[in-house]
Amino acid sequence: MSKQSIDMNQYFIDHKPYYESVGDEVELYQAAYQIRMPVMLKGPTGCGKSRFVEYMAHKLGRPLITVACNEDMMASDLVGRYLLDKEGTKWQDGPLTIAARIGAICYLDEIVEARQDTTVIIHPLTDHRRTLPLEKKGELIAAHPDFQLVISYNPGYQSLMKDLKQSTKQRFGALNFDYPDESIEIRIVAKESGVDTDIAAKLVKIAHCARNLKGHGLDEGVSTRLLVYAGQLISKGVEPKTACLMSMVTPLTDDPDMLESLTTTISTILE
Amino acid sequence: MKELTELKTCHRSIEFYLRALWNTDFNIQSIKSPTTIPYSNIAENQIFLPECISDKLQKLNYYYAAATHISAHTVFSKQTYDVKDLNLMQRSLIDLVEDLRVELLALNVFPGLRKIWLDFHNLEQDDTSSAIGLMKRLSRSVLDSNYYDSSQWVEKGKKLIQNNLYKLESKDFSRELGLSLANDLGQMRLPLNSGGYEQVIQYRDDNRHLWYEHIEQHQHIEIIKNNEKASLDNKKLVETDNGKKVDIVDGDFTAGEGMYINRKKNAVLEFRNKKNSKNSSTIFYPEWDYKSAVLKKKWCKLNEKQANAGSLDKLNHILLNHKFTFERLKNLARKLQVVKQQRVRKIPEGDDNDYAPMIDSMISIRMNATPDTRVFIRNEYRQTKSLAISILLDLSESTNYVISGVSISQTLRDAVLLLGETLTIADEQFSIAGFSSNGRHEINYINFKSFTEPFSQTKARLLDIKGQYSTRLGAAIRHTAQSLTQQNAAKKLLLVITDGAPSDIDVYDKQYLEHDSWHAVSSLYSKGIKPFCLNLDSRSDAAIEHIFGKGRFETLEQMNKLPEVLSSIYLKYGRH
Amino acid sequence: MRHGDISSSDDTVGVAVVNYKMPRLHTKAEVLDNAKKIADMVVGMKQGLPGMDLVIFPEYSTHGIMYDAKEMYETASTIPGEETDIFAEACRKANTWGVFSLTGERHEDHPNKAPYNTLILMNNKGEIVQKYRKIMPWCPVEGWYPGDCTYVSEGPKGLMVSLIICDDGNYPEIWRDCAMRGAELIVRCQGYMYPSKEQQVIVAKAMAWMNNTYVAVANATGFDGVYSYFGHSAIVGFDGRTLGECGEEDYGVQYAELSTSQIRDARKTWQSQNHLFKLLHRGYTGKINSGEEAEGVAECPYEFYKTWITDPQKAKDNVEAITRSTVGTAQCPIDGIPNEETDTSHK
Repeated sequence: MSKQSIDMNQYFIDHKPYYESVGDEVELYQAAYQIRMPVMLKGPTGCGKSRFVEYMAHKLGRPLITVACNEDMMASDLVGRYLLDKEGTKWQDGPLTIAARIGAICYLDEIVEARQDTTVIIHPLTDHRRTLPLEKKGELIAAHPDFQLVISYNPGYQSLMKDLKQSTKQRFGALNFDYPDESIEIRIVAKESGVDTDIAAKLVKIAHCARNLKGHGLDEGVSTRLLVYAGQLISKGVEPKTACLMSMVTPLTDDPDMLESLTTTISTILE
Repeated sequence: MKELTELKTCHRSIEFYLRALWNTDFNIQSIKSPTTIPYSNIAENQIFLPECISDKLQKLNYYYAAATHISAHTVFSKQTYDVKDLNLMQRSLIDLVEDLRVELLALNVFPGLRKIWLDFHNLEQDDTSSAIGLMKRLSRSVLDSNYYDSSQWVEKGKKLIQNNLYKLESKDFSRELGLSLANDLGQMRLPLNSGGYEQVIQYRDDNRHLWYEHIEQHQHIEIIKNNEKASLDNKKLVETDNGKKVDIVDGDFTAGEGMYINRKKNAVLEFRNKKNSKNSSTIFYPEWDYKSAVLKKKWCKLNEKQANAGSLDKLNHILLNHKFTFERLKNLARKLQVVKQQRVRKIPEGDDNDYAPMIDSMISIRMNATPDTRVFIRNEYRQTKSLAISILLDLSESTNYVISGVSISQTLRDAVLLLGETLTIADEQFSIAGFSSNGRHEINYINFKSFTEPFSQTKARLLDIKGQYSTRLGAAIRHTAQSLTQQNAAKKLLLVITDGAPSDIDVYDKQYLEHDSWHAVSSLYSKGIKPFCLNLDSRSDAAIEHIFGKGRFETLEQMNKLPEVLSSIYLKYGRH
Repeated sequence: MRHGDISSSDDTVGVAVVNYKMPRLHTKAEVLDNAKKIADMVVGMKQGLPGMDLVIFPEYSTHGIMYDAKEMYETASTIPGEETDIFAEACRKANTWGVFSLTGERHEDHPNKAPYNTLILMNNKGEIVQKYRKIMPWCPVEGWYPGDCTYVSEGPKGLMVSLIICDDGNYPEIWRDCAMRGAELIVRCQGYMYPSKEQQVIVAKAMAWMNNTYVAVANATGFDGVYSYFGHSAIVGFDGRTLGECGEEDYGVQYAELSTSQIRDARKTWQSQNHLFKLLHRGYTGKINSGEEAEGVAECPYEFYKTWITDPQKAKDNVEAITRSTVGTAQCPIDGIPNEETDTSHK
């Protein structure tokens, strides 16, 4: 078994990410980290969950390892697997294993997307044991004292048929996220994209209209992220309506009726 | 030949659009009659638009203009006016000011609406010699700040409205300003062209919601209903021999042969030894007596018969009333189909490589061990019928109880219709039946849909849903379980939709039938059937929880919650 | 009729009544154990009362009161059955007749229908001579299925015996029915509790007098956790005077010798207080004096009885008019019994 050297530096967040606090989530997270409580971030897509984790990792000075979960992900994608090379087999740590070894914050994004039998491997890491068994390798890793597990979870309409097991859910403290308040969101859009507050306000208004359609034709509302994209396009000189169509409408739906109504909504607000 | 645009080409996107604007569901329906003036039912968020219009109008976004205008009424028009003592001119001007008022309020929120509406204020052919013409000009000058009109009345009106903008939301705005404008216009002795309502701007509705008249009509209808009721009170209902028709006879009458009339207070028990009709069969079921802990054999007599079909038109109308809920249910049903698609891993033959087992096999080869050849992966649609659902409806008298304006039996009917449609799309096998009871000797079990009949051919029977008699739930559950057990499915779900605790007129111990129902439900598990209850009246949650157990029921008091409730049932039971 | 001795003769029937302590039982096994205890008592009593021809145990003496419906249905007996087998052996062994209570006896449609409250008269050969089912269960407390008739059987030494149970005895009709059909001894087994002690003592004496019949009452004693039973088992002569009466002591026994010839002679020769004869020969003196038929009037003068026989529904309506129309009453509601405030509409 070859000893792997892990370059920890690659996992640190270099620059302080921009994040607008909307409540006491920063303090709560800090407290949770102090007791190494696993944390679940609940909220719709693109409302700032990932940004928040980056912000906190930077603030706490811990490395961050992010894994985007998907349906095809298996346990070995998290803990690691044997790979073949010319000399034979070689063990390759997965992201979760690396995080546990180096004491990083491990962020499993959109965890419901992963199959439930995959999810259960995090269980021993999330209780008093704080261990991760590598079954194939026959190794039991005791998590580094600084290690913390964070998951994000979107309880929205599209996950009706997918849900976390209660036994998984009940291992986490949860923070609720939602799209920021109108005034905060305008500030975020203006700051991140460089458009003036007037345009930012209109973009946010469009987003609010589109979010009204969530569950009524749209699976998800417009995320703050998409709003920022729209703003950035406008800053680059793209005509506002076109920018909105490209960043806030077309990505959301393929339904022609929905496209038409969203387009009309944009012209109604932008004039 | 005239080019026509039909409402159906764009009504869905307009509904989306209105929801985006106001965060409320609007229901757009088409007017089939030749009238082209849109109208609305504000209380129900219903918008009625002409079925088709000329292409020229559609280029101007006619449907959008009309729908947004009416939606503005729905959002901002809260007051109504008394028709009494108002002449046509006064009413017309109040209409106009109210139209402008709601449009101005909407423009405050969505300035972009201005363009949609102004497109219809084209004044080319308008003259100043008719009242309608002047009103149209006033409408334009209020909406279009760049427009200047030569008519003194129009400019005066514009100023009047602009000076009062601060009280746009006041209750008397439209009446006050409308009357003032009507006074001036009246003095100009300009007649309205016709004697009746005239549309000033083409996209605006007839404002029927503004005036009292309609309300008076409603009251009138209710009075008639009450009278009917009163005259029925002194009469008695008599069962006839064929068991279907109900005759009403006056007050006193003597008991006929084989009939026993119990005159006690509430209990209007009329036992009659009637012959079973041809299409019904009789079966006996036991009942659990919790006090003596005895399962009383052959205690309940259950008659099974088929529901009568109603008209499909009416059904479609119901679906239309719940179209938004239905849309969401359809969405859900499609997702269910996706869920049925599964990835099968680690198989000897397949469309794609499964890497993890493949690496394991390679390791085995290097170790000179026998490799596992199951290294493929495949997407598979589950063909086997894995779920069978029996829906059992409580059709007792109590379902006539009205909760927030809707009778429970109506909620029940609508819920089952939506459920049936959804399950059909999701390609599930299901049956629907209902029950009511009149003592243990007369439990009526009505079949709406068997497992073998397609829903499309049976759904019209749901119109036969009506509330009568009592709720002897246990026997009905036992009977439903009988047919559900015989279904070939991995999972069997018995979904009871009821409005309350079981009861019957021959049982005085309130606990008794609750315990019996509990017993019937408990015995389902050993038959491989999972029970679930949809409760339509939250007042009976405690009893329902006793019968079905914690987490085995949901309370549904509003139809629009059905998708959520249904999906939670699926999450619990239907997951493959 | 005599009291004081322990003997009996060819003319007299030795009758013993027992103040049996009300048992509190739950299972069939406990019931059978108790039945054996009763059987032992029969044999023991015979040793002390060699003249004893008939021994009478109170209502509920075999089963006790099963306050739990489940236990009540589970322990309901078949007759003949295990319990009566035990009694039969005792009767044979002691060479005596016995009256035993079986609460309850399984209904023909058991367990769909409620059990009966049954009393049996068993002869000295262990055969069941009479099986009487309580006509008037003590509602609302008792949940027995009501019986529908009385019996008169030839008992020890030819004495004609009828059995009635407890609350039955509060209705004069049943006494009259038994006596008129020839009963010379009416056995009233009861599990009667306080408060109505004095009333029940009076009823036994009054009914003996009014019907010119011997009355033997056996009642329970003790406290079963719910009710307290007042005992006072007694034997009353056909003249309405008590021959012997227990107090409230557990397992108290009274004993008397009832003459068959005396009661028959009295019924034959008594005049002014021959209530049985006179009820059907009304006013014969006046009729004779009026030059009419010498036998007096036989016809029933009581309108209530006429109505009851010809139109029970009407009789019921009449009584409801002076009482109430529902079985329960809202002022003291009892679970499971409908009263005037019970909502009996369809729901």
